[in-house]
Amino acid sequence: MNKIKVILSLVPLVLMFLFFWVPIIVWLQKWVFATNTISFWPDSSTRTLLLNTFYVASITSLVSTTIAHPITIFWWLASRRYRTILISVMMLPLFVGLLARNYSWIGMLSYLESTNISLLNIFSDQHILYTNFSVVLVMIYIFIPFAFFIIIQSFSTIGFAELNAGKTMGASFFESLHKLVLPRTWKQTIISILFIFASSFGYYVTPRMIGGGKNDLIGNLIWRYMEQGDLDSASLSALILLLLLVPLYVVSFILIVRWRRRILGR
Amino acid sequence: MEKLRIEKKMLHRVKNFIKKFFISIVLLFLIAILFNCYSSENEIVSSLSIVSYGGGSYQKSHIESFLKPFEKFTGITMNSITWGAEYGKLKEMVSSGNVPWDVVEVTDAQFKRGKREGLFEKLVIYPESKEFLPNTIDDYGVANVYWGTVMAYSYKEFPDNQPNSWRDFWDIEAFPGFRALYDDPRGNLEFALLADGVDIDSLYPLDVDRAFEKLNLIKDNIRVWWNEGTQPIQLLQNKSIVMTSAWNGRIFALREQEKKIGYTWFGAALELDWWIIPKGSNFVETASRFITFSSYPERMAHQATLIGYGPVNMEALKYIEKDIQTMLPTYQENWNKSFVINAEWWSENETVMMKRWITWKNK
Repeated sequence: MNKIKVILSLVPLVLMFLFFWVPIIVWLQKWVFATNTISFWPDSSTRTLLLNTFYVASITSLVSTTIAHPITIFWWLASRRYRTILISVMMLPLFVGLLARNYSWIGMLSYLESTNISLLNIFSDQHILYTNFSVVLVMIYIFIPFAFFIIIQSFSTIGFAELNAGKTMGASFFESLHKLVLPRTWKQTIISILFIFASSFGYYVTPRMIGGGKNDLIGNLIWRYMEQGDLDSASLSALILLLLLVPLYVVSFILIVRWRRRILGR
Repeated sequence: MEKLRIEKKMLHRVKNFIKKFFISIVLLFLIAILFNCYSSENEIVSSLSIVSYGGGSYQKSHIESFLKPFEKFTGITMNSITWGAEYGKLKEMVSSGNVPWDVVEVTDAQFKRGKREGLFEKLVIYPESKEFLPNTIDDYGVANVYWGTVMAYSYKEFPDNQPNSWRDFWDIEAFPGFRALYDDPRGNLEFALLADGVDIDSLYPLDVDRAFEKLNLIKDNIRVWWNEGTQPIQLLQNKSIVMTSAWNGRIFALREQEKKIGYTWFGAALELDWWIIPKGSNFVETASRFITFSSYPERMAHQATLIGYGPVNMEALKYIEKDIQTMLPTYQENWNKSFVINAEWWSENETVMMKRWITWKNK
């Protein structure tokens, strides 16, 4: 049986090597032996965009995961019938294409601006659309269902015994939730944050449509280079992305391992 | 013992499966190669893919004026595809040898660059060049239209005193409000220099530093860097902006429905679009026939009535009504107020300018 496992696990590893690492190795070899200079250190435009991307991706991942938690708790406490309804409601946006969703946000935000709703007074020039805020807002909207479906996996394994035990000990509902239930969902929370962070890091459609060309992310830069046929610069920018994300995942792996030791004792 | 026997059997099955899987992949690969080798111009052409730049009403003008009539004439199914003039995409397609597109529309700068880099097939059939504008027929392509990037504005915002030049575009005090510009240095650098007082006949070679300094003065008032042809019109209609650059054909296409948008030809940037056949295309002869068919004066006249872009075959003017002629970039009065984008300069400097543009925009 061990041999079977080894052979089966070799298949995805071989595919990953062929379609992922081989192109990177070819590019690196080309860079090392290139006759013309390809600077590895990102230029100022790349650095600016990386910072903006990091900022947008961080806020998107943290806020969408945070918003997904009460929705998941509501699902957890709901009866079976309402659980099914809630899952269907969360799945609906995923059936609608990304372009259609972006265009609806453009329509909605334009309408809000044109009707001059007083809520917009919190923005100094009453403009939400074509700003960094609108890009983050739409990306949070896009990723909430993903966060929900990741976090739901931990809640689905938790019974109500902890809540009941807390109640008999005199703890309030929120105290039991905070001290007994939520620590057990820490793993899925980290996975949700990492998944959404990595996904939003490479986003370029929403920033292009909602950002008005003024709030580009690193994905837009890579797209620009590809558009011009400058594949060296596009590959370099993509490689920098990868090199930034890999340490992040190493850190998160360490965090998960520590969580397991602390919570589960193994 | 029994467990060991079952494990060995399973291992054998897994190995067999993996072997068959890889053999089938190799076979499929070989079949694909053989199919590609066998497909040639000798095959009957059942369909042709024509790629338009920009989509929307421009793509519609191609479909109505060229694709549908050609399909009716030849019986060949015509597929209309749109692209955003991503040069890198075309380059990769040609270098990979997998070219699903038969005829592609490219900008003038891309035509010059693509010809230099050997990305195009030589035409087999050419249109007769009696009444074509100079330098619009080449061994590797035939020009389709002259189109213009004009300055458009909202009549409602400026009912009495309309802006009339790129200087007015830069004049925030006299004409307050947000603006929009195309998200590309091509055209915008020229507009900045015109606003800064450079003579329209002395634009090239571009004083790039001066252009970017001038653009710095307007940067905060640019609300949107648009990238789709319909966007500037939508932005004017929903009052997000008061002035913008826009492709004249998009405004022309709306002229009956929307009379609230004004525009001026002063300082408009004119460019040629070319039909080319990507290298590696399977149906070079048929594609050449399509390009020649699209160059007939009646076809070009029909397109001009739909989109308002200037046909390069001047014989087409016979078939265009006078009031529509006055809206075309090639109409003498409009032509005299505009300048033609120097495709040679841009084909050599586009990559460097684009990097500088991205850096500047994101500062």
